[in-house]
Amino acid sequence: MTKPDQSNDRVDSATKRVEASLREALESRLEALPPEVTRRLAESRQAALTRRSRAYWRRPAVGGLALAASVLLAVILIGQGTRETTPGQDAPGQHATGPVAAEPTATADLLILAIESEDLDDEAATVIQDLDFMLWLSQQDDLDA
Amino acid sequence: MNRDDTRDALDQFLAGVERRAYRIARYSLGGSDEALDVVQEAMFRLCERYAHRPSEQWKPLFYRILANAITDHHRKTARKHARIGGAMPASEPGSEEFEPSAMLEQSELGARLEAEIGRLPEQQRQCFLLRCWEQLSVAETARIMGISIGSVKTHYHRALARLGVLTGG
Repeated sequence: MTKPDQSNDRVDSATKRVEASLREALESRLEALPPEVTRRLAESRQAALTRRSRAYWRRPAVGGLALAASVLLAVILIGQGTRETTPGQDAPGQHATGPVAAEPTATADLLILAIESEDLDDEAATVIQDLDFMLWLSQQDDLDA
Repeated sequence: MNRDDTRDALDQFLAGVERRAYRIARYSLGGSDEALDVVQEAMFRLCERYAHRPSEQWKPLFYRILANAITDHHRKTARKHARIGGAMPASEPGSEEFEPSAMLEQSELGARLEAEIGRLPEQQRQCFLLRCWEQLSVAETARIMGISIGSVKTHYHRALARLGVLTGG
C-alpha cells in the first residue's frame, strides 16, 4: 500500500511537471512577439523611466518649499521668542548686543543650512530670500521702535 | 540605492516583466493596442509612485497595478457598450497578432494553451498566470488580486486541471 506521504509527493511532482510544461509553452510564445510590440513595450518603458526622472527632479521643489516653510516657521518662532523677552528688559542702546543680536545669527545659520541643502531649487531659494528680507525688515522695525 | 542605480534597476525589472505583462493583458483584453496601453499605464504608475519602494516589492506592486488597470479597462468597455447598446466584442487572444508563418513556428502546445487561457474565467486566468507563469506565491497572488488565499488555491487548481489536460498531465 502506498503511504499517504509518498502519494502526496507523487501528486506534487506531477503538478510541478505540468506547471513546468505549461510555463515552457508560454515562454515559447514570448519569443514570437511581433517586433512592433516589443518596440512599443521598450518605448513605454523608456517613457516611464523618463517620467520617473522628471518626477524625481520635481521632488526638490516640494522638498525645497517644505524647507522654506520650515525656515519661515523657525524665523517666526525666533522672532516671537525675542520679542517676548526683549521689550522693557534692555535699554534701547543694548539691542545690538542682547537677544536681538543673537536672532540674526540663528536665523542666518538656518538660511545657510537651507541654501546649502541639495533639496533647494530656484523657487525655494526665492522664498528663502524673501524671508531673509522680511526678517531684516522686522529687525529694522524693532530697532526703530 | 542612488537615482541612477534605481533607474537601472527599474529598467532591468521592467524589461524582465514587460513581455509577460503584455501577454497577460492580451489574454484578458483581446486587443494588442489595449494590452499595450494598460502595460504602459502600469509602468508609468510603478515608476512615478512606487520606484522608491524596495525592489523586491516591485513585482507584486506592478502586477497589482496591472490587474487594476485590466479591471478598469473592462469596466470602461462594459459602460461604453452599455451606453451604445452593443455587445462586447469577443476576446480572441493572439488572433490578429501573429503572421501565419510565425504561427507555424510556434509550438502547437503554446498555441492551444493560449487559446484555452483565453477561454478561462478572468480570475482563474489571473491566478494561473501569476502563480504558474510569474511563479508568485499564493499569498502574493491573493494580495495582487484582492481575494483570499483559499480562493487563489481554488481558482488555480481549476485552471491547472483544465490546462493540464493539454500537456497530457
